[in-house]
Amino acid sequence: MPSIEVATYIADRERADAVSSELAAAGHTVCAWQPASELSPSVRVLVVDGLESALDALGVPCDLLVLVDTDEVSMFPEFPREITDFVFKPLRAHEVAARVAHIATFDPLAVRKRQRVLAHAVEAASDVIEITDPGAVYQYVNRAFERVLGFAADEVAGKTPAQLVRSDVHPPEFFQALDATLASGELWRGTLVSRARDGRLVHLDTTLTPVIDRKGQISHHVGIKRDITDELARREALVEANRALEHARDAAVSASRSKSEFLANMSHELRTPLNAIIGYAEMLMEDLTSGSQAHQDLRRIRTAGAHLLALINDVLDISKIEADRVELSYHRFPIQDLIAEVVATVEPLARSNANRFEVVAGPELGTIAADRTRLRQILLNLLGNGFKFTKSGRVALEVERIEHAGGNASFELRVVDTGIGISEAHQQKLFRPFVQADSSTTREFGGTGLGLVISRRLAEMMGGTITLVSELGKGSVFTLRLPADGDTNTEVLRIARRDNQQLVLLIDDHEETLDLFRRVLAKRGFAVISAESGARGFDLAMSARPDAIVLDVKMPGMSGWEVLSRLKLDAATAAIPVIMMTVMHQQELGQTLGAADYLIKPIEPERLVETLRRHTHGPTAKVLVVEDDEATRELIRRTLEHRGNVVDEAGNGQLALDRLEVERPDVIVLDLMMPVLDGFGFLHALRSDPRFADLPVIVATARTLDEAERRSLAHTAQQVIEKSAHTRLELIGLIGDQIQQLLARRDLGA
Amino acid sequence: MSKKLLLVEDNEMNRDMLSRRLERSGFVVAVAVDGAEAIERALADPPDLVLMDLSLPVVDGWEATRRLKADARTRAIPIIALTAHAMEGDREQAREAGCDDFDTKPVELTRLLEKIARLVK
Repeated sequence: MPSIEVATYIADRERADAVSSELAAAGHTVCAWQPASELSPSVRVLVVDGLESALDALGVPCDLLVLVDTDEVSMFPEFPREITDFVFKPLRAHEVAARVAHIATFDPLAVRKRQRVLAHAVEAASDVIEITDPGAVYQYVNRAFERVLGFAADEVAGKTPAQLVRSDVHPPEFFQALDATLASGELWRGTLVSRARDGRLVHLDTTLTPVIDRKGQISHHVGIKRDITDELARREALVEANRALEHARDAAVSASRSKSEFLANMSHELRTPLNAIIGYAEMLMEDLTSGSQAHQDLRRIRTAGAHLLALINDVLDISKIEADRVELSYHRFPIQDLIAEVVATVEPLARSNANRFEVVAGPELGTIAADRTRLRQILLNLLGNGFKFTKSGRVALEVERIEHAGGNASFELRVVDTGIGISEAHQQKLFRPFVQADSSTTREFGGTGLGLVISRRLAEMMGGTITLVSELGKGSVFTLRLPADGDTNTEVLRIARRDNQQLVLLIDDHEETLDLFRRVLAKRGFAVISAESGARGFDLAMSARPDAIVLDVKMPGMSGWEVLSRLKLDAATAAIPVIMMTVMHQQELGQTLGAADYLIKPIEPERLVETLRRHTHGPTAKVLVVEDDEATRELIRRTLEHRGNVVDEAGNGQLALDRLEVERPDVIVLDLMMPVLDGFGFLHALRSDPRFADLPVIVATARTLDEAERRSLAHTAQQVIEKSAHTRLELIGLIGDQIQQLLARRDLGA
Repeated sequence: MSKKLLLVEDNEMNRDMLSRRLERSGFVVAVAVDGAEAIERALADPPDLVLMDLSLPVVDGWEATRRLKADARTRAIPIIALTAHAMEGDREQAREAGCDDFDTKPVELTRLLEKIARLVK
């Protein structure tokens, strides 16, 4: 233990001696009552009796150990910083020695240095740090206070925040709550708005901490405040920018949709007269001997018509692809069947330029899961190009199945020709829409140049690629690569995101179960993705984040329970409701592991739909149900509420009009046959009122409507559901679906 | 005896052209200009097959098909949907309404005749 020099100033002689001998026994050098001026510079510690005397000794560059009465401490709520330590009276010599020993082990210089560093850190902190007394008078503010609020330390002295930085932004209750929190000894966190010296409002992210003294009284408040004014402004600007972006996106989505709808309509309008042109030309040709001038002319009309039709189809196709309106429909089929079909279609074309056409197909090609129509379209396009640009040469379709490590397989379909070939410069442009390789090509060979663009996009949508190798004058090889097991999940996901559908993940190793449930759920407006094993299901849940998961318990490999517990352990998937399918009652296990619900096999598809509806929430709405039959009304209300909607009711059209005056719903569900004012009368009144001219109405009626009624409703209601065609439960399910579709459209800004 | 077709088509030129071509191919052709008329004619004088345009006034082709297929008197009559729409969904919707086959316009006569032959024995 280091021995040091100690000076004591203790009034009671007896106790002073006891202290001195205790310190001497510990190896320290002790002097008593040495006047400050005569103190040796090597004295480290002053032991002083009473706080009063300690204040006198504050200037001495030594550690101060002060002997104090308990009441004395409360009289001096602020301990002078220079006091190193204190000992409570009645005095016990060994306690003083213990404190001195403690101080002796400190390097006083290091302690001071640390205090200086701390003081400096507080002073230089970028956050405002302030200390106020219980009367809220400022005792200390650091430099950041002046930088943020503009008041210098000397302007602050003796003032309270209310006098200095009051902004009048907060109501009195705000400060009452703040004071109550602090008075209870709790710290207070929140945003305070203060007024700076120049009148600016400053937003301060604030923590206020009460400092409690030894008697349990609040001696100070320490406030740490960060200026978040700029941050808030940035955040607001960001929110504003996001809002503007959302508006722009909504407008673009809606514009793109109108464009695609326009094109679809236009295509109908263009094809109808074309139908007549081609048809009449063919009819006249049948009447004329072939070879005659008129027959040749009619052939030209028909050929031009057919060309025009191909152009319209291409433009429509690319517009649909660009507007994201193409939906693939996957089927598994032997690829050999499709090849035979395509070959039969192109055979007449193959002969036209005196070309040799060969099909080179490997054995055991097996099946492919793809959109058959679209795959045929791609092959016809590639082969069509081959025949068009090859004269007296060879065009071949080569088909090969490639097995990959890991059990995956893919198909490579190559169209190889010995035609005119494509220069490297033109190859670059070939797959870009509306940029033709060479305008002279168009003049000579016709076409929109969109065929390849469409083919490549379609191939990509099916998870494949189209690549090209070509040499000018020698010929070209177009290679289409497609996975043998096209993934329908990707397509479903794309549509679900586009149309805002509820996404359900089915995990079951039985293909028939998957198939059945997939069809049932798709019909009821759910988007369904599926996995045939627990491991794949878990991965798919992680990547797709579905709205709900339906999980089979008994699966080879990873069992349903294991999948469930892994889903619940991962923060990314923990919140997704999981519905278990079991053969036995294992509700408890399910609940322990966090299943939202469970269904016992064999499962009624309708039960599955209902259970899913309970656990998924689409967009929800305020619905006004207008129906005179109380039981039906109640059933509709309960079902809609189950799906998260807020439901208001009215017993007839007149009561409904009254309700509308009180509250405007998002959508009305309307019965037609009602007393007082029926559905037609209600709709008439509703649509005559400009406030409600565009309020969506879903008509649900028990009667079969006649033509006049249907026509009238077509103008006044968004959707008509005839109850006779459905069971009551189905009907109510349909109403719910219609509401969700209306909302989804509204959310998309369409 | 020649087979009787009911052609439902609202466009006058197409109706005329297609009915004449079908007559040349040996069919007896009755025409209707909308879905409601189609149902009336099918009930009054049941044809061997209906060629149904889908976008029709009054009662559209889908609805007319649904009703023909819901009625025991007309359920057995095969229906081929004809549409100028090339939208994917149309094919599905036509099948769901109960159409037995589907063809796009402009009509390719040989293809359509094949489809008719498959459905009319």
